[in-house]
Amino acid sequence: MRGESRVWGRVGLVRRRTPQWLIRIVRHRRTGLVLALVVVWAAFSLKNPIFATGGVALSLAQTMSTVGILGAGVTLVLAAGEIDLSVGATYGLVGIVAAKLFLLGWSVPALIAASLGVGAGVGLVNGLLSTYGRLPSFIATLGTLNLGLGLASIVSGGLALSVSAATEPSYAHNLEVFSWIGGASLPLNFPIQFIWMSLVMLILGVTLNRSMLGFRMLATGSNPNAARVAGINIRRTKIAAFVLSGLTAAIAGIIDLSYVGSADPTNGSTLTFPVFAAVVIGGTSLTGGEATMIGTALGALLLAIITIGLTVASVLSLYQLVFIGGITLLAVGIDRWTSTSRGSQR
Amino acid sequence: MRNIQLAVERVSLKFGFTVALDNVSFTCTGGMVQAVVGHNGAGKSSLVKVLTGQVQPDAGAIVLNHRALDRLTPADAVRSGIGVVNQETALCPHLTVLQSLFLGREQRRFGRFGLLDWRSMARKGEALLRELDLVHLKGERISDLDVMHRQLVEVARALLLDPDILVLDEPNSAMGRKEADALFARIHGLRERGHLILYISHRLQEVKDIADTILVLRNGRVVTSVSPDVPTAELARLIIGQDSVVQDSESFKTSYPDARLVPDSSQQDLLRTENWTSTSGSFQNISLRLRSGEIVGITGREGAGHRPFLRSLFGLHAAQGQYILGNKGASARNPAHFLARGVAYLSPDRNVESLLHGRSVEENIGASAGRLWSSLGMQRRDRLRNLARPLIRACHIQGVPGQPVATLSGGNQQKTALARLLAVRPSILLLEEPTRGVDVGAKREIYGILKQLTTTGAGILIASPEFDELVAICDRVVVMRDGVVIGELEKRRLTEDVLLGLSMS
Repeated sequence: MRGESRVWGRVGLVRRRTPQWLIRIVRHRRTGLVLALVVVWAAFSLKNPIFATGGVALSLAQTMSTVGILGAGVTLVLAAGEIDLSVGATYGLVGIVAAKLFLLGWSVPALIAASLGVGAGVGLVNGLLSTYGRLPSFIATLGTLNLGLGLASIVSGGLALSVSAATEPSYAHNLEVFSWIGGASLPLNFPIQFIWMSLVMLILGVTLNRSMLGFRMLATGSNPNAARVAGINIRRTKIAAFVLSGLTAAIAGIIDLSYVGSADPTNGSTLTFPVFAAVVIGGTSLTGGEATMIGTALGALLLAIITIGLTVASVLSLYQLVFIGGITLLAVGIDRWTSTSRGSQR
Repeated sequence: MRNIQLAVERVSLKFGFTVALDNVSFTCTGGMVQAVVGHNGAGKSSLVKVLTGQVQPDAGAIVLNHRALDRLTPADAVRSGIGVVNQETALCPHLTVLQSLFLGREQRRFGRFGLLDWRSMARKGEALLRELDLVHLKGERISDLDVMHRQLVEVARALLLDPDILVLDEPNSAMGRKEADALFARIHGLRERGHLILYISHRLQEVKDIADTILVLRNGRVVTSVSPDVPTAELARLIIGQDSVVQDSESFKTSYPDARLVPDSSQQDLLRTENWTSTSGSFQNISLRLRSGEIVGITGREGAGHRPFLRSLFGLHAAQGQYILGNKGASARNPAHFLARGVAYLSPDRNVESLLHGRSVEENIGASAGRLWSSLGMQRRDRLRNLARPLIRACHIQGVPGQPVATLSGGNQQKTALARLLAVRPSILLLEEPTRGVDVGAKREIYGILKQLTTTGAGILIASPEFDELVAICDRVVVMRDGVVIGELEKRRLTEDVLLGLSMS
């Protein structure tokens, strides 16, 4: 997998004073992140022992899921050397569209298919604009971000749409089916969102690391000119990454609508920062060619620990953003500062 | 006269577990040209970086005029009178040539934090550019310049501060003959005035012509210091060392067995153009044929149109006219199309268009041959390794399949880039400067690989500014000037002098 840092020496010059396994752990890309997770978790647990209980662990699993699913798609886009700021808006738009279709009486499979189509469609637009349209993806997705939020407001009429409040008896069966997606009661109150997130991450992780599409994404992100000369269709590769990102945003949108029971047109507007924080904390490079799905999962977990930890430690919500911002800077900073030795070459 | 004494005392430098410099010592004084030669990975560039403060040595000292330069930074080096032209140009693409000259050493009015004094900078910069015959470029953006002119800008940058010690790391790897000669004249002038010049190069003849003494490095150690009278063959032997493996055709055949074998290889036309004309006007009406088993050179001064012509044959430069591959026309604009038809292209600048820097050696080798190591859209790493291993061996790449390509030395990176082309088993190779920035040993290995390919029926088209290279390996050479073909030389008439005369006349 990408990001494992091994020690390369010219044959004959490798000195074996320190055991290799130790060097490998110390220089491993994600050692710092795992340490940060443990330290932050331990700190919150010391402050309030309730944090170390299974119940909190389950809510961590649930809290990290939305950011994790969105982050999985963003990881692919960054791997391909582009950026997708619109995932939060797509997530919000899909929630509204799905709620609207539900209230129009669509069957659950049909509304899921249509919602996924909306997500993929936004991704396709992003992809086309940033390749054939020659817009920098930062601008293109900034545009679709606002388009998405705007469309969500228009479709919903600016109001929250409630699925669970639908009272007509004909909706009862549909509602039961639809609520299962994000709200199924599993043994031990295990959050089903976490299972969906694991599935999405597994599939996209395999795509990134084991499929030819993933190789083409990383090659494109690593050096687009070289990838093109090597015969890789970099436009198609980037479009695929954007479409997958749009799809994952749609998946998260559907799951959360099902769980919460209602959708607000402004839902996605605050997600951009935590999603990018999770992905970058995880070790995915903003300049492309270097991406790790496990890192993104760990990043999402770290953010969830901080968010819930601050609540459990009864830090006023007024102050929470300051903590989240500061800890994000610290985590990414530690990663960059400790990784300088890896970048050196002859 | 300046009085300059530079001593490098027992300098060692390690990158992780790789020893780049091992106890290197030598001294030199003003008024001489000290050449440093060695193959890729011998430590030349590391030495340059230590001398110019780009890295700190792990042990040892740089002593300038009996004063040790401790914890040297690039800014300190400049203040101590050390100027450098690095092997790879490092300029800001959006700045103009004039701005680039003064980047980091801007002149100001009203003291240190004052306003930039563009008028004075323009005056000083223009004077220098005029001396170097570059004044017409002063307002050009760096991004609009080709590699050669970027190198010339780097040289001008180094000269601007009139450094006591000028370190040149392959400054002319992309230059034409004329520009290189002008540079050498300049170097001689500096030497006369008592400057010290450290000159790092792969080109042995050039080094022998220009240097007063030659320091030979191998595997990070000083092998010896010789005078420029030493025969070239002897120098090459010192550089490569006795134990080095020389490419032989047997090992190539066994390690690259299923290369395409074409019957009746001498006559078949692999590629033909008729009235092939660049859409942007860089070349006109080129009619050229490449037969199976042939190595054809194509050359000219910078801007003669041979480079865009080569790129147009891979869909990287728009052109119209007739272009026939095998017996079918070709017109597509994307590289994948040409790769599928057995055409492979190597870019002159491996950092820009050849290497996937963050990826491994094997991924780089397999990048164009995805079909060969995938099934149902999934990667088959075992197949990739089986694809890469024999090519790593055949091309003598000193590295292992999973190693990040950025950790290889320049020559091995270049061989990796070439191995990527071989992985698709091409019948036509379009190579732009296949041995740029590559040492003698690696050069010979690359020539060996190319010769071998022709025996399997491939045809090779090489664009290179190095006449000795073209004379050594080509069956014929096409010379271009101002976008048109002005002559073609068969093997028996092929000499460097004739090529020079034809391209300059």
